[in-house]
Amino acid sequence: MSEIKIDSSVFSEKKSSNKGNIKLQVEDLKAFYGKKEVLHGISADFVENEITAIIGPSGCGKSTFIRTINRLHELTRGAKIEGKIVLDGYDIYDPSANPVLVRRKIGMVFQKPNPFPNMSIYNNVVAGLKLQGHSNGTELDEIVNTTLEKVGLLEEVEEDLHRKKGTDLSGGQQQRLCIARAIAVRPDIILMDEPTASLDPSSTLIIEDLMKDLSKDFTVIAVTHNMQQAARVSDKTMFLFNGDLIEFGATRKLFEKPDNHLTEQYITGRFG
Amino acid sequence: MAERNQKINPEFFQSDRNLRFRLFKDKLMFYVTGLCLLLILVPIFGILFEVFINGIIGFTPDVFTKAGGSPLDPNTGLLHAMMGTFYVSVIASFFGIPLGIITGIYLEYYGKGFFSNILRVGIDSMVAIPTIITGIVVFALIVLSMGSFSVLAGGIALAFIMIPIIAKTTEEMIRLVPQLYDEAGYALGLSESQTAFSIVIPLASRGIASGVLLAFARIIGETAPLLFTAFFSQSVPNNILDVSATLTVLIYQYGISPFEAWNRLAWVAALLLMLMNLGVIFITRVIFSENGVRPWTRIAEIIKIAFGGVIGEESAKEE
Repeated sequence: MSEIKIDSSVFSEKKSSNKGNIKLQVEDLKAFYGKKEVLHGISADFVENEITAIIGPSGCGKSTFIRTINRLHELTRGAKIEGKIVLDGYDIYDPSANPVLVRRKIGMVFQKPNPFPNMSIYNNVVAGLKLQGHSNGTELDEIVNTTLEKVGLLEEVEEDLHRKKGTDLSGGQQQRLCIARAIAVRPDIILMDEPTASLDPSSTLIIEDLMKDLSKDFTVIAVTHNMQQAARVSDKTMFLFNGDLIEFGATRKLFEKPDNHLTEQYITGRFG
Repeated sequence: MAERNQKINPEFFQSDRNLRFRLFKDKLMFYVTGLCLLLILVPIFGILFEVFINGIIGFTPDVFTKAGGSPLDPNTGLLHAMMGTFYVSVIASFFGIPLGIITGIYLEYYGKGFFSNILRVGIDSMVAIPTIITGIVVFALIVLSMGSFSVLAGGIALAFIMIPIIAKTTEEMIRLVPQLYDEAGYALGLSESQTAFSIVIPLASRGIASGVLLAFARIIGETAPLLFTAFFSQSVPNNILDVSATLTVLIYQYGISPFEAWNRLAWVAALLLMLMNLGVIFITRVIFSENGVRPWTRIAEIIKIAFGGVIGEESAKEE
């Protein structure tokens, strides 16, 4: 339990000085389900405090890719990977790396909001910390306050922190609660797997604003089905097609002047 | 547009023969299924009614305070059998509930190898083994080696009936917890065992609890294994190594006896047993309805596992 460090001052000090550092390097990543190869050697660098959007048609490997980054992929039976994913100079697939500790550095928000139905709002936020063995009440209180404030949920739920369950909230609120839960354990990277796919348009906009805000403190990698969303929120965009990385670069350039004709066809809606 | 403004032919609503035939079939099926429902309800309520009336007739306060005795003694009761049933079900729960739940958790989380498949087949067949066989095995293993019938042997026989039911329901209920909660736990940097014990199993706990309750309801109605193990006596057991009557065995013994007083007590015992069972099932229902998540599907599932065969399948189809 020694690796838990909680620093509750947190969000104020921006890490903008780090902007431009490469946070995560993916090198020749291949992912398999059984014998079937679904990602064919992807290499990409992710820059600290940037938002990267991953786009591509259904079944192109977007979700698989993002799930290899926090080693959730390998929990599926028969799933494995080849290649390297390097976080801050350390290969997270190194045999000595413990996937549980990797996931403390790389948090994730899922497509369907999944707050724990048997826990209050408060306990949902600190679920990760509490179960990792953290029990200082005042510190936990402070973390709940700062994280809920961060996701813009504090005012809405302040009265009900202990009274209501996480699942009593609306869909958009639940998703923000899940984001709060993910950032409460202070990861370096936040993965989002279509975080707005099950939300209504106004909740979607709130989450998009939140993503921009989060990128001040975290490196964000988000899968999205929605190209407008990628264009609105991301710094970089990655286009995957049939398990290959087709194009990866600044969002603006990728949408306005793509290098690859497949990218162009996809973003203009000719397929997918 | 012109077509849209046309007046509808009045016959449009009446003349479709095909539709009329379908409506007729619909009505027919409604009455046929309703009739089947009645056919089932009549015997069910007949049994409940018969037991209730006869039980009430024979009921006296002595039932709760006096033990058994001579059939000619008017001052006898059911205390010995109630205590016996209490002891055997407590002993059965003491062994059966923890072992059943642990087995279920093991099967769901680690049950992937050859050994686990054997265990799974074993548990499936244990559910289906006639309970009289469980009784005779415990008789051979425990009663013969200890040299006497005992409450303990009865409890152990009933525990063997409980374990597979609880193990199966526990496994199923944990499996019903959506994968997304496992993944949420892992993504927070929790280990597999933390995710299992702090998140997933608590989410399955209502289901597991009602599996336990239904297994309990099942064993308090068991007779056959107790005939070989706790056997029968007319006095209240002093300790768990005593031979003792239980409500079910008492119903059998008193029911077939020629004495009217005993017959009457058998009816009272039947009523008590029925009320206990209904009580447990009622509690189970309450536990589920609070959860609000598809209670009938899960109850049907549990009933199917617990009682096997016909009843479970019927209620599963209703769903």
